[in-house]
Amino acid sequence: MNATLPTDGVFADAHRQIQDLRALLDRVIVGQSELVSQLITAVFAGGHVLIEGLPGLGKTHLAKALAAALGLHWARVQCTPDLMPADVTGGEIYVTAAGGASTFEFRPGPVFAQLVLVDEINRATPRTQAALLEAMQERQVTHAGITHRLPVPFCVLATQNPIELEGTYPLPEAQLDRFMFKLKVPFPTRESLRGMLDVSLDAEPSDTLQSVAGPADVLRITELCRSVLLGERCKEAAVDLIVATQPAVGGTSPDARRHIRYGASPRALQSVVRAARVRALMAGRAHVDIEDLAVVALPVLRHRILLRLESELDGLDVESTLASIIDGWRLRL
Amino acid sequence: MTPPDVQTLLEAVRRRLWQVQLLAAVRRALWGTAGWMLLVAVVQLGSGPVAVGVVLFALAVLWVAMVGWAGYRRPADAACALWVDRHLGGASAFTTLLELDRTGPPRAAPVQAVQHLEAFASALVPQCRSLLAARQNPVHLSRSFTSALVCTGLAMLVGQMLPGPAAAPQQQGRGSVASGIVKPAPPEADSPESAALVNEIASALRTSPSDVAASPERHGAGNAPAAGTGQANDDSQAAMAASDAHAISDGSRGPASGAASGAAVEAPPMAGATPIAGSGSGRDAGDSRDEAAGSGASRAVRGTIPVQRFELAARRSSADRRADTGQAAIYDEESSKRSAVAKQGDADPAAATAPVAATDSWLTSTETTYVQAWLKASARQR
Repeated sequence: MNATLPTDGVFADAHRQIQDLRALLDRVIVGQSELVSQLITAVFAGGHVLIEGLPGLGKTHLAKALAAALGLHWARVQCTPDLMPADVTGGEIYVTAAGGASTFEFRPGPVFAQLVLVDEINRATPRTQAALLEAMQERQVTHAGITHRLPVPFCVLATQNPIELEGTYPLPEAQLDRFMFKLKVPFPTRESLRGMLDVSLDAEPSDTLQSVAGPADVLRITELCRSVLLGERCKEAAVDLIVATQPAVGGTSPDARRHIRYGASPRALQSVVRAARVRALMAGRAHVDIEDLAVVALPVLRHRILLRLESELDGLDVESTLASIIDGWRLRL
Repeated sequence: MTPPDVQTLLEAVRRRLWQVQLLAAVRRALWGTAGWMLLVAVVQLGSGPVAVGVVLFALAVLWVAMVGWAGYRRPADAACALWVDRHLGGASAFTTLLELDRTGPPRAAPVQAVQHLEAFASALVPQCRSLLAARQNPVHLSRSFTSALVCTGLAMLVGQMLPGPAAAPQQQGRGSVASGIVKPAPPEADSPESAALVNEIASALRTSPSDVAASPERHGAGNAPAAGTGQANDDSQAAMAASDAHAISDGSRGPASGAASGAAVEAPPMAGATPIAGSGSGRDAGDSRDEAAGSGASRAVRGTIPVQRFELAARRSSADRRADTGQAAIYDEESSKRSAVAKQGDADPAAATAPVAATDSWLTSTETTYVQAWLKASARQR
């Protein structure tokens, strides 16, 4: 179908740029093509991403490569229990000028980077988490009564380890809702592992990566995504998807009634549509298709759903329940 | 706003959808035909033949309703676009395009997005056309057609296996064609034979006791048909009706006794048979307690029964009755009807039995008048 796509216009240019970005990241991040696509989607949709995966799967490498490919300034925060909010947001320090005058000067923290990698966010205390998540939501930091705007584009990639949960502070649901995507890093296939030896055995490819776009391009594409057409049928489908996850609302699915304690929020609906617009642009379209909604449904909804305790004790997980709900939703369309 | 090639594709899809719709309607009509013919076969088995006109009319209504409704429902543009998006890889482009065409682009939608959408939809048209051409028709008519054929054949077979209705029932059945079922005509209520029997019984009842007295030679002679008196049967019947209460010995019914009694000799009372004293009660002889208490007492045999049975047997054996063997059922019903009438006629004389039955006790004039009045009243009532 790509052969039939229009080649003129701003949408075609944006599509080409995104395709170039994907190709570049696919060369560096071997065997994680879908993860790369979802990460690009979140970045252009203006959302933040919570990445869950075991150590050593290339999460930091992915963030560095993305920042390098997009020409973004990036920073990393390694979360520990003694990490303070000021260590993330920045703080005032006492500065003595050359003339002897001394003042307090605000020194921005790592959150003022365009792309922030917050490693093992669940090891930070709730206070630090709250400071970080407030910055993510408001895109500004207020310190000593002075508001400091965060740079644009601004994207947080937070990671957490699914194991070694002792001594961690799991993110509350309200703060999890601020992440547009929750991505899971799968273990690479055998061919991918073989390819990694050729690509990144002796060098860090992200260090020498040439950017294919700049922050201005990211902003332009982000703005362009907002003009992607959304038909009534797709709007209805998106609403149906969110309603299908609600256990106590009419039109919900049997799985939701049986297994879900809390369903997706209206913010999830917005995230689904915004992400679907980016997916449409990535597919070379200026309109959203039902398939775009279906592709982004799982990463958008998986951290916004709470299962019943009985279902969890029965061995069910959010992934399988959501997959069942999404399958039923697609059949009804 | 919609590009012409997109409109052409939508028209092609509309034709295909319409065709599928019509085929589905034909399939439903075929299944309906099969069901209807099966129903007709069952009704024919249970209630008799069904008029062909009714069957054909119902089938015509079914087909016109199905096919007409399918032809009337022209697929709309939105339905065609949705079908293209779902089945031909349209990726929601056609529905979105038609939506913009219908409601106008939203305020936030830039011109570039709409132009890109139109170009995208136009670029998809050749691919959708090829997919449409390669798409098989999902409606299959073979099973429904076979079922309709089989059921129609079954209904016709059942219709042919049913016995052909007689002429009279056919004539009567014309009136009930509208109901769809030709009901067999009921047996004739008043056949000539029955009427003759009734007349005979009535005339026997109308016979006054004076007639009996005027022909004393018949009295007690029983009902021997071979009575040598040479009198007509009517006279003997009248006499028998009048002497119904007489005790008649079995031997008196025999031809020999009849012949012997041809000289108007009173039959002597047989051993064991109690001579009936005329009580005037109108009851059958032997009904009284005294008579029943007598040794060997029995109910008197009614004199009319042998004659009627004889006549019925003679009529049944007539050649004109045996000619039409195809009317066996009607024949039986008629015979049963006649037997019912005969029984009725049998009972009536018993009820109308004159109070005087003794051989040696005649009615007084008052009693005779009473009996005559009673007979007239009962005849009028009948």
